[in-house]
Amino acid sequence: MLLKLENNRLEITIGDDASHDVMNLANDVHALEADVLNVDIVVLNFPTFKDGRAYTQARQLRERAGFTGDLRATGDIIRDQILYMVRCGFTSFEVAPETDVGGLNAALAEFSDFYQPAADVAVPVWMRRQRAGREQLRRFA
Amino acid sequence: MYRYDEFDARIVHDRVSQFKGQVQRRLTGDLTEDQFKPLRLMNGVYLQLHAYMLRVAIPYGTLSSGQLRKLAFIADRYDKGFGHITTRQNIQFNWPALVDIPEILDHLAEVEMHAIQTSGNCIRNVTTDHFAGATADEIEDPRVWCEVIRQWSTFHPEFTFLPRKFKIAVTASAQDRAAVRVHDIGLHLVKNLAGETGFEVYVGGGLGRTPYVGEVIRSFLPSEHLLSYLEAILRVYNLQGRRDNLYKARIKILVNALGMDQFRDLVEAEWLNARDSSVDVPQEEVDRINAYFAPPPFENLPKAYDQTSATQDNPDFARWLRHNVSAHKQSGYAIVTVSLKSPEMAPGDITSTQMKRVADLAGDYSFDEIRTTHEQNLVLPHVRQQDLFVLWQKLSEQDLATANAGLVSDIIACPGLDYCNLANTRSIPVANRIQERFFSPEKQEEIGELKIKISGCINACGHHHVGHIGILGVDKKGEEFYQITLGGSAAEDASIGEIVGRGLSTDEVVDSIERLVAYYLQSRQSDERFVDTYKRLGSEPFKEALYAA
Repeated sequence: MLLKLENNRLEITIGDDASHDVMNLANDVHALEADVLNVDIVVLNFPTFKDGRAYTQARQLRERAGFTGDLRATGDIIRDQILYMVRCGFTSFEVAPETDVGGLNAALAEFSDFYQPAADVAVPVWMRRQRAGREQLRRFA
Repeated sequence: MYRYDEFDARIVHDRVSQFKGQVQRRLTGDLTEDQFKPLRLMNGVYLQLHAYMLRVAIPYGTLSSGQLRKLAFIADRYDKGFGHITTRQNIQFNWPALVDIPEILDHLAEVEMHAIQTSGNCIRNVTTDHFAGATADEIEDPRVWCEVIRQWSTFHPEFTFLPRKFKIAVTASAQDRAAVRVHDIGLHLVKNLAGETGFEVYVGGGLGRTPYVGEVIRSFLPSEHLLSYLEAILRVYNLQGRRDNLYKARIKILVNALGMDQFRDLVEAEWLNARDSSVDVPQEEVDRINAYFAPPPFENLPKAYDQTSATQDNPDFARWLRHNVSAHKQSGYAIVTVSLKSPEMAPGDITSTQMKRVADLAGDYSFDEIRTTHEQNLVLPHVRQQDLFVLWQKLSEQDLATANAGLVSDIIACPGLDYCNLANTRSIPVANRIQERFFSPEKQEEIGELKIKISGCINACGHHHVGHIGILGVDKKGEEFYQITLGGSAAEDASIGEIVGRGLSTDEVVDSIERLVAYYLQSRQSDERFVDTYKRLGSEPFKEALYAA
């Protein structure tokens, strides 16, 4: 079952890989050595949920290689990792057919504050503190 | 000390809710034990021999009185009235029920505490000098940077499923009380020739099966680039660290396999691209955190308080002053080490009654502040010298004034086979028997600094590799044996102890250590410590003494 991230929610979608350029990137290939320029979909694998190499590969593709296409996670994907995956730049997920999609969406909403910047749009807490601090100063000025 | 703002509070609160859901899914069977395991571990919940164990984070070993009272409450209500201070400055409860753990986390959140990343293959609780903010020999308070690292590493999306656990320690003193060179990353705050503050960065240290002393990867990292540099190191490790063998998965193995030069090149290449990203927090945020670590309102006191009248009639107090009281940066103040190494107790254990008492005493005498140490003791960091005598009396009433900081009975020991399902042998009874053998305070004082560290298996949680005398429990055909290592150190002279010979039986081990100590006493020159004499004379004569029976 393929899930696509739209507006920070996961929806079931029908894959249309045949009409796209798809690259499967192995975990032992450095993401910056892959030529992803003309690729629509890069697929990264989680051989077990304990193997976190694809998180780094994903961030390198997004933040260093400038990959803007669909970044797909396959393999052992469990609910409690989905937020980390989204934060590292994944946008679609090949999951087991019995997966509870509602549970995955609930997991995406479990946190709303993040300490560190990553490959998503979340503004790290320190930046929001500064903004909050500045607004507070303005109010008391 | 650091206080939560709305963001910190919400993150911890959201984490409690998330873990409640995970426990619920485990209890209903939605999660298998195999799936639940890494999730509970990431929240400090272990399944031990007899029960679940909960490890609560004490970030960089700093506690308020209110927090310690809450820990006492948890010990009373959910444990058997005990807590156990760990070598990562955390506290463990050995008897909570799984169903109660979400509730315990609620209680902890009320006092700005949690169990986040106290286990699992992620970045663990950052540790530091337990005298931070009180000692005169530090460049600045290292806890500011520890808090910066704590925030950055909390729920780091990229580094939560590393090949193996990852430990970072920070010190700002020449005298290393934080064992930074036996950490995955050790950070030593230094000043360069221009007077700017930065870090000497060590990488690849660690104990376990294959002990290494960390090497310098960068001699000066401007402090504003700390996080981007850490991220570069972690990134190289996450991609290239071994995942095929649990025992070869730590960063030390990778650094050793590549060699420091190649590892450094990889890290610097990563860093080149990351150093100007928004990973590094701006000075404004460092200043915000720094403000929380402003010194407490010290009084203006004369340089030294005359203890003569009290010490004259109380040789025990005088001895405690000599060993458990250290110099403070503020005139008229002192740093007090509260020993948790009474022979009556497992090393690092503290009762709920003692916790409450220490919380009260910290309120009365140390600006509400307590520290935990990686040597499994407590510290009251800011005590007026004129209060030392009355504080000593009050600590004595609770069996908390053992005058043995740094001495032979101040032993680090892992929980061993009494609690841990990885252990080969018991550790606590060996520690207690050594403490009994060297019970005499006069004898201990004569021996001077001697660090004994005991691990009940090769995972080395008791840091035996870096004990002046290290004791490692091994199982031989169902019988407990103890292998002795000599000459290790976790301090600024960090080194891995040498194995001197065959393992000793449970009956032999204490006698053998006594012979080692006797040989040292007859061989030492002037005020040489045990480890110095060992380094001067080499292992041969000590080996003879050890097996002389």
